[in-house]
Amino acid sequence: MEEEVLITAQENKTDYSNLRQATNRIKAELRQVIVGQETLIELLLVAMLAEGHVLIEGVPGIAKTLTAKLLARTVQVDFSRIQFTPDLMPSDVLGTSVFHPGTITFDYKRGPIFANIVLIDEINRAPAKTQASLFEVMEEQHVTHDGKVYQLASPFVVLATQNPIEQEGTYRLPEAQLDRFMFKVLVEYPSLEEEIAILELQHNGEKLKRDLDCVQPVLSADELIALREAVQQVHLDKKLLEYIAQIVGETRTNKSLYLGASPRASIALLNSSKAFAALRGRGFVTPEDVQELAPVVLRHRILLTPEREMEGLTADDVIKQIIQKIEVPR
Amino acid sequence: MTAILLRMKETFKQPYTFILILCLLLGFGPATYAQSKDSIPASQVPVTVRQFDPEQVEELRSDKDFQYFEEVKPDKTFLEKVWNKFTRWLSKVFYSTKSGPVWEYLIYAFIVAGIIFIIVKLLRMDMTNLFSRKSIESEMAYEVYEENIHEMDIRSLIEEAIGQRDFRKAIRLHYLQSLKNLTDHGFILWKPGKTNRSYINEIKAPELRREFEQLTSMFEYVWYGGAALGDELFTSARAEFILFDKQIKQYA
Repeated sequence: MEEEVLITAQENKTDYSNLRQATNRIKAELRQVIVGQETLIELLLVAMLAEGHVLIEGVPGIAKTLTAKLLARTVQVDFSRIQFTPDLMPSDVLGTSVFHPGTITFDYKRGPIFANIVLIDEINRAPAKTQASLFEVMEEQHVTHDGKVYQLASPFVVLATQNPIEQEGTYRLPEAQLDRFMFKVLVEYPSLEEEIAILELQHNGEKLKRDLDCVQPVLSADELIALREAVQQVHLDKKLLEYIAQIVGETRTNKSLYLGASPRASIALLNSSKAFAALRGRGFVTPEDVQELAPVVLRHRILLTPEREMEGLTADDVIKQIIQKIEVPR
Repeated sequence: MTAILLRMKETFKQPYTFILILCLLLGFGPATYAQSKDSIPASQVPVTVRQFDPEQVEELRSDKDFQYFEEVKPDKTFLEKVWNKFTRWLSKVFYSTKSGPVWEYLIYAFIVAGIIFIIVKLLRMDMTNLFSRKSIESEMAYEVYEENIHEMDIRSLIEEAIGQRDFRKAIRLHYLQSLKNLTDHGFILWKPGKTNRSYINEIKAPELRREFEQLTSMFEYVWYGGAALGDELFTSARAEFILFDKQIKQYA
């Protein structure tokens, strides 16, 4: 009975088995090196499919950079890594004009941002000036220099890592930049079992594979673009559109919040929910997809009131309350 | 004084010194001669006596800067006297040797409490939620929802949907009916924010859970997936829901 209904439901819908196979291959490649961090890997894949940038936050030493670097390696695209430092200038990221005495002209030398996957390591080590240089490129996927617009190639994904703000020598990211990240993923310490697995690998002389060569590309840029197009075909019922709008709208009126989420957050939640559903082999979004992604989409876009912050409430707590408050559309 | 007299006596004993002093006195004598009154010529300029401007004088008198008399404060008012007595009594009570340091601590406590109160008022903090999270949650109370499965007449709505050949809606209503039955028999706790998967996880009876999981998948494909249902499929799906509702009663 159920199968019949499923067949009817899937009529004229995109087949997401290819997408699942591709993402499973990526996961398998990553698992050669990374122990645990399943949520991080899944969310990175969702963001890649939903054309979003990811901010990964966690204490040092929990494989944030390594995971991002390896994920970039699984896709056959241009990759660049920028280590953000306090003295980094916008031109170090975007590029600069270089004078050629022979031709008596200035040529634009492209910066490391011109790549398909850009890993910005420790993004909060650079001051606001350098961070602001990413505004245009992250949102519009092009760089304007000397009045000329330089388009970046697709796909373009920024994976940024940062240590928690409490760490010494870091700068808080501007709200405008935070809003440009689709997800903020909080990476936790590995579980006891995962830590034991890491130690066993080390103890048995197998050493953790830090050599990137063991991870092979399993997806081309064109394939990734095709998967992204498939994600766009995921069905999203109007009731769920309203549900997303209600959740994001509630952040703007909630008494515990000083700053609510922007419409960009609604769009991010919409696109990521589609990618999340596709990743699970479904051709439609359910309220569960929206609920699961709401914290990672909203947590960096909202600001708590000082009173709530003093009470020890976190952004995740408020998001949870909002989700519980709004009726799931049925 | 005696020492000075003795020194003078010794000085006058020496003849040269005495002569020298005498010469000096006689030599300066002519210089100290004063002129007589007749030698000063009388002034020919007529003397005019200037009078003070009375208005200006009055103005200066009334000027505050020239008021040199201090105002004597009047005697203390009745209220001031009462206040003074009260403060004296307070200090007597608090600082008496019998009462010990307890009162002193109490004063400090009052001062600290006062400072905290001022800070709280300035920051407009809501301190009612300081010691409990429950009150915060209660602020996020559930709103009035458009639909309440416990108040809806689901059976008649199902018949209405079937009559309109809106099978998707009918499946949805059947699913709501199942949720209502599960709640009524204590298998799940109905809350608006819960997802279908949350309800599946709440059901402890494995058979019932498995059945409900299948129905949930079907409902999701039809309702969220936008699938169209034909007569046959709907009849079959409806039978599944009716069977499940019977099972709930059996397990209850």
